[in-house]
Amino acid sequence: MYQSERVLKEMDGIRQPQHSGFSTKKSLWNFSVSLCLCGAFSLLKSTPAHAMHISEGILPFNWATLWFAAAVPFVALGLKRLDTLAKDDLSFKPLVGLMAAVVFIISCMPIPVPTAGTCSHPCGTGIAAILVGPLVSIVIAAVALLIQALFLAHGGLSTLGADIVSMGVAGSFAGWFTFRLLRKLGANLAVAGFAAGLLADWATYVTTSVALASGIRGDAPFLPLFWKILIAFIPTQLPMGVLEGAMTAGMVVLLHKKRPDLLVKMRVVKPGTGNREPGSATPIIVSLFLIFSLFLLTPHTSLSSEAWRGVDESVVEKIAREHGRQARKPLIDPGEGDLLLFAFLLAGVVGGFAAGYYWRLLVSEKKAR
Amino acid sequence: MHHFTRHAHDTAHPLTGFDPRVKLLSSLALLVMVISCKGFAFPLLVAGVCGGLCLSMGVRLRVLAVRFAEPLFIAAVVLILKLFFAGKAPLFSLHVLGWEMVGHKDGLLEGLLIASRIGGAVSLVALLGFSTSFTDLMTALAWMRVPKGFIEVALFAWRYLFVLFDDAQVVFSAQKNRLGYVGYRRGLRSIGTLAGALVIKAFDNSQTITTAMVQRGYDGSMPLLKHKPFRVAEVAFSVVFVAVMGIMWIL
Amino acid sequence: MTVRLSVHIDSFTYPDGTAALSDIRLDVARGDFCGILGSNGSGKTTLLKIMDGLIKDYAGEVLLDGDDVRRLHSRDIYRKVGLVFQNPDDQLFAHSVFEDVAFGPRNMGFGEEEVRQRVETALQSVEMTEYGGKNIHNLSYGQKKRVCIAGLLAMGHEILLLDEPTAGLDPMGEYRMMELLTRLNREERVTIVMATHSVDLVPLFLHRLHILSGGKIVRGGVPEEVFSAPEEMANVKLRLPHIAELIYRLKHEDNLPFERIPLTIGEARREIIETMKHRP
Repeated sequence: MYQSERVLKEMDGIRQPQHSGFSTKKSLWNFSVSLCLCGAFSLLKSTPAHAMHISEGILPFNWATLWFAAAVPFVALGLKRLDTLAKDDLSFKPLVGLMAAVVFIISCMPIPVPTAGTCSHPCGTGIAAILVGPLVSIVIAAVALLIQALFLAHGGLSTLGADIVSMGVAGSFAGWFTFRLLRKLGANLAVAGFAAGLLADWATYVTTSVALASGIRGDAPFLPLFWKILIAFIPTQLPMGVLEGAMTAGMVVLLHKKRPDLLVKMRVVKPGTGNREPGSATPIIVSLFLIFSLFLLTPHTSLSSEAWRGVDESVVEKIAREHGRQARKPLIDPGEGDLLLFAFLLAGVVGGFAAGYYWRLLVSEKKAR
Repeated sequence: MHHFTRHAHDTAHPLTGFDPRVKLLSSLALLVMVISCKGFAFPLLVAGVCGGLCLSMGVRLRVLAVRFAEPLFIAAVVLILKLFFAGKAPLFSLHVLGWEMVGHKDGLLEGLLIASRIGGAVSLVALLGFSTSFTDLMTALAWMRVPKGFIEVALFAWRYLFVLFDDAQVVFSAQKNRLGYVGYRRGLRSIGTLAGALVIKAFDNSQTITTAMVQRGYDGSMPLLKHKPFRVAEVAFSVVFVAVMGIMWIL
Repeated sequence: MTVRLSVHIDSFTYPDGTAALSDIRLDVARGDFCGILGSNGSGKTTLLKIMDGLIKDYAGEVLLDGDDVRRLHSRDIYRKVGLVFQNPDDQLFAHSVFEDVAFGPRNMGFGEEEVRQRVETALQSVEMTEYGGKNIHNLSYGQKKRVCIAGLLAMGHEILLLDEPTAGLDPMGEYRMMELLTRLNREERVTIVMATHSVDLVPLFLHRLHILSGGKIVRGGVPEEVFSAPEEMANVKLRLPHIAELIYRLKHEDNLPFERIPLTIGEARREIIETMKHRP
């Protein structure tokens, strides 16, 4: 096996031109998919992917510090959880390290988004969160982001805090929550995985937009800029979310098919249960559709009303009620100063975290019984 | 993938031999200055100094350009956002597809400030990354009291990044050779399978690594690397350098 | 001849119900260099893992210097016995060669000076001294395997278990690996047990062979003895070394008067010259 690997590696250089020649005969989409993936795997960096990470240097000092302050407790809790789990299972730390490598590799795959004509990349935190839980997944995201910041200039050291909050905290919790919730409601693995990947990606995207908008706004009001950034990234991030969902679903299904023991070990499924558990999938699909449409409608309604400052409070509250913590971030009064804005953010994040933490306790207690 | 380690930069360059702790601390100090400054001269100065140092270390221009591609793209987006959507003093206006786009002078200035900060900060971190190995950086972080769990996970991740990347490449080639990426839908499925295959490999590898480590006395924590003592000349040089930059920053 | 490792396995079944090993009787003496020869899936790796104390739920007992390995603390096992896996990437987890080899000695609590010395000696034993500072990812496959061995030698292991040490190496690499193992065995008194399926290589180097097939040891002894029955070898999905096969056919099918079946090129050459001399 190893020899063939070497050969393949050596072939890589030769294969490239042949491949693009082959692709041009096919449709444009095929071409772009294979070319970008090809580029991803041969050079990893040939295509300037515009990431949903905040680039180095964008955030001014006070914002960078505040985001760090927000990220540190989560990472600390993640590390604590990691230590607890590693005590029982010596292979846990290596596993988390390897998962971080997987997340890194996944988030280095620039994938062409046809609607925007550019490449973007998935986050992979949804996958990690489903498998190792949201807290440890934050550590994984932090490690992957640190390596990216240092050696690829994706994200940055000064913006690490903000990136950890968006990709790590928001992404992990959204993905994990969605997955567990839908599984509880009786959805099958593919549906739950898809929704988890999708929402993890979108939660990351919304949080990043918040961080970006608050960081670069200067004296301008926050909300209009936030909407503009949100809208600017819609063409890439909406399809990207779908793709991430498909990827997460594919991963879970493959694991279930090939190595169900792993899913059992990580407590993703209970031993002996199949992919499809009793209970109909319709309510889940309906609720999912609701969440989707809300995500889609939010920016559009506010755009069409063209009343930037007066975004309908009821709409916003409805969103907040519908999909929890992550969406609470847009709930910020545009007229207020940085400090209040941040207080809101922090309250939202902490509140969401508390909810997430105790939710987890609740679930595991039930399991123990 | 090997471009991480294959920069072929000058290992004899004085900066490479610098104590990683000194490098990290001075980089962080400069980074703070860059992101908290109010004018664009200072970030550009930092960008110039760091870019020059990178080149003097033998980093090729192409590698450097690739490193900057993404941040500069984001800088351009921010600049455009700022130019057209922020500020009050109109500079010019454009008619695009029936929309009137007004460029603002103050928006432009703000955008340029952010763009210059991006340039400065990215070149600073690039210099740090090119001149220091990941292991050294992690040792420095451990010295700065970053929790050990984080360091261990990061070191595992870094080591197996390359192994898993090779595996991903093999899976990807195998899929592509069997037309796994022809068509968008099939491409999506193949990507899911690829991710799943990687996760399985991660699980299996972590098992064997643990066995191999237990055989060699692993009990839950890795022995961390030892530091060489600080060298006075390096510390003094860095302090002076950072101080000079600090004065520049104040000016 | 002191027996260091004595394996008596009545049966071992995988958790999923597959029978893996049964009726294994195997003694490894001090200074032995023995091989477990078997086709793919014959249970070689499982047997090595049991000998290393990694698998515990079998019926029977494995004695290491007279103590049951299941009762020993893992620290006491791993001071004496070490298993080298087939894929070196599974076991090299540090970034530089030095750091990886130093992992074991550091865990044993040696001071930094002692650690450095042990690492240097170990790297010297596997002829990798100049690679100490190298990044593991940039090494070749064979070099990685050597680093794996050095990692165990640095802990002062007296018994090395190797899973397919020559798999994946080019012919020269195979030869050099076997040479290295022979040198460790002769000069550093390391007892070596290796699992392999490469029949052409082993008779050159190994003292004793055990043929494993379907989870049972079907034959054991010195290479000449083991390879004396070609039909039996074919039954266990193995064969004679090519040169032995040739002489065997010449003797039995073409009735050439060879006295015995040589296993290596050198022996065959001598045998042929002898036979030619005595021919009218």
